[in-house]
Amino acid sequence: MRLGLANLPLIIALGLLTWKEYLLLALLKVLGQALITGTIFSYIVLFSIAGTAASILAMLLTYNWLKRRVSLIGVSIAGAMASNSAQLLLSRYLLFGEAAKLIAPPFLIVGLITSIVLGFFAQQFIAKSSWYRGVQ
Amino acid sequence: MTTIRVGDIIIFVLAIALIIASFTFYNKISGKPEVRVRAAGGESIYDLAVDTLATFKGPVGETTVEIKGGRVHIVDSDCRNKVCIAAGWIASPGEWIICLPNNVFVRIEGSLEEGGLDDISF
Repeated sequence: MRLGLANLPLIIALGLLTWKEYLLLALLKVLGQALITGTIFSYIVLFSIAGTAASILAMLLTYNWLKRRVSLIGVSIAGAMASNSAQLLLSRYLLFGEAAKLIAPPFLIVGLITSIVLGFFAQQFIAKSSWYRGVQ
Repeated sequence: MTTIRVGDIIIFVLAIALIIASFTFYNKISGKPEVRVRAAGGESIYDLAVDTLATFKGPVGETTVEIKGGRVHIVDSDCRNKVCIAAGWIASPGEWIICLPNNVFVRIEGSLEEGGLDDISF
């Protein structure tokens, strides 16, 4: 189980970067994580890529479509659900077959909880950080 | 303080719906329990409900697997320690018998029937 702390910059950056810069940041996140955990040339990196790609897509869409009607908590939940779903699908076809379904409920529940905490933190951060106000 | 907005509630409800939907996966793993035997020659699949006697060749000789009355065991094997024979009968999905010297792997896969939980604790 992972908290997804590496997604925090991705959530906060939604209001700061252009989409090209944002993609670069996501790429850096995937590469950085893979280098640090030593998984860069393993199948695990596929899960990282799939999860990150799905989550940034979901977060960009919710953030830009719903704009003022959604806080970073909602954005974070959407990202986590997209990421977890993508990884479940991948494990279904790549590794575990039908058995991947068994891990779906706990996986999604943990994702929901951590994403709410993370979204809450991100929301607090952009509301209070003078650095954020400075670069915005 | 953080303001929770309409979109957050909607997304939260959708996430909960997704989670509830994912629980139905538990009921959908179905199909008859089948016995899968992996030996040197590849993998063979048998119906747990059909009585069968099958012999598999391996590096140290032959291993004979019997399916009888919804249970599986290894009748005879040319291995040294006969651990696989001593393992006795298996009957539930998830159970397995392995004969390491002769490279024969017998396992039951398939449906989780009623009462098919591994364990429950409160």
